[in-house]
Amino acid sequence: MKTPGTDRRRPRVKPRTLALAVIAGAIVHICATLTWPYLTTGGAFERLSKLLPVDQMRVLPPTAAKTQVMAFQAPDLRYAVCRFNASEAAIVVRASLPESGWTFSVHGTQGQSIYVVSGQDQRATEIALLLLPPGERFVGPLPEARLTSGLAQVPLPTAEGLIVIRAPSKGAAYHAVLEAELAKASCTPRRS
Amino acid sequence: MSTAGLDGPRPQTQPRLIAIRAILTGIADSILNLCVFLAIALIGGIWSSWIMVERGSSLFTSTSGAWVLWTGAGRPDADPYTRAHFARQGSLPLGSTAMHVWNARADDDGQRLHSSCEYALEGDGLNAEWWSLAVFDERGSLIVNAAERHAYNSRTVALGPDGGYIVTLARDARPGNWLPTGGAGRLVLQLSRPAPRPNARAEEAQAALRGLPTIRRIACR
Repeated sequence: MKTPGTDRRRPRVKPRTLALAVIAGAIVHICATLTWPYLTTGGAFERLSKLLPVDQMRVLPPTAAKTQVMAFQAPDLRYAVCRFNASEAAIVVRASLPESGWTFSVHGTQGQSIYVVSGQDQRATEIALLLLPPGERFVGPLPEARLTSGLAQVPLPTAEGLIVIRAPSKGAAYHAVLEAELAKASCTPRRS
Repeated sequence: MSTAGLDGPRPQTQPRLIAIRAILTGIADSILNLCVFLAIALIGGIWSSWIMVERGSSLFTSTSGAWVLWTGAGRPDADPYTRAHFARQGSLPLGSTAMHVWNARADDDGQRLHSSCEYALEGDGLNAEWWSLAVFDERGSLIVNAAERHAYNSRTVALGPDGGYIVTLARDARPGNWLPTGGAGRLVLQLSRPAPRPNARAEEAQAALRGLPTIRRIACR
């Protein structure tokens, strides 16, 4: 028989604490996952912003250890990049993807893709876009309805971002041809 | 002989001791519960998030041997783990509808890829129009080497008589398709190839998920 005064109870974890901790852990998990993108530094946009002028397409040099500007930048791809800022005016983008393997993408400041087009077999894919600043959206049955000017509208979630054209390298002998093709791409603010 | 003087204080002291012990036990209880709460809530919550963001899970990645593909990479509607993964990585992921970018951080036996070891990557030429196989260090930087060789692609790799290829990852020069790893430490392999066309048949799409090179460890120093 236990005497009340002699009962040396060890500290114990209450089931309610465990349940609350699991719930709090789940909340922390969700918050941490959503926060990671905002806590990280040295992202692609941040790095390229320091190197590139605004609203101009630039062909990056062949990727090597010394010229790499992004993490996991594929060395067998050639890049043309435009750092755009659509806060003042919409951006007119023109590019051509001559064959399959070529890709055109518009990225937000956190690197997320906003718009992606892939090159096709045996025919060039012509791209003519109007990147619309946040809040400036045309009303119509289709968000990307073609205007009479022939530009497809792409509403942007953020005013700033990157346009990237990737061209698969076929070897050093083709560098000049690829560069010439990439250099044809343009990205300019729309003048009203 | 009377013992009243010796026994007298006990009845008064004992309740006090019991009360103090109860208070101390209560404090210990509270501290223990607080520690458990914080450990599970903070450490558990952050650690589990970190693991999911770094390694992914079958919910939003596809795996083939040691190769991992983040299926939502670069998509505007990507899940938060995929977004966090690529934001942390500092790369610009292409939509998985345009390019499939597979990463491998371990060999086929699950051992972490490391520059102190030599590996043989064997493939069958990959049934794709263009592909590229590159090696990076853990942070996604290309590895400095005198040969300035960082990748092979479908047009630069030397194929064997059977149409397959072997790429050797090693610190020192090797005959054939050699990718130098220098003293980079932990390695990451990246295999890029165009995604199957949207109208591709199911078996073509499945075939695109297979046929990735095997990663066999040859030796370690």
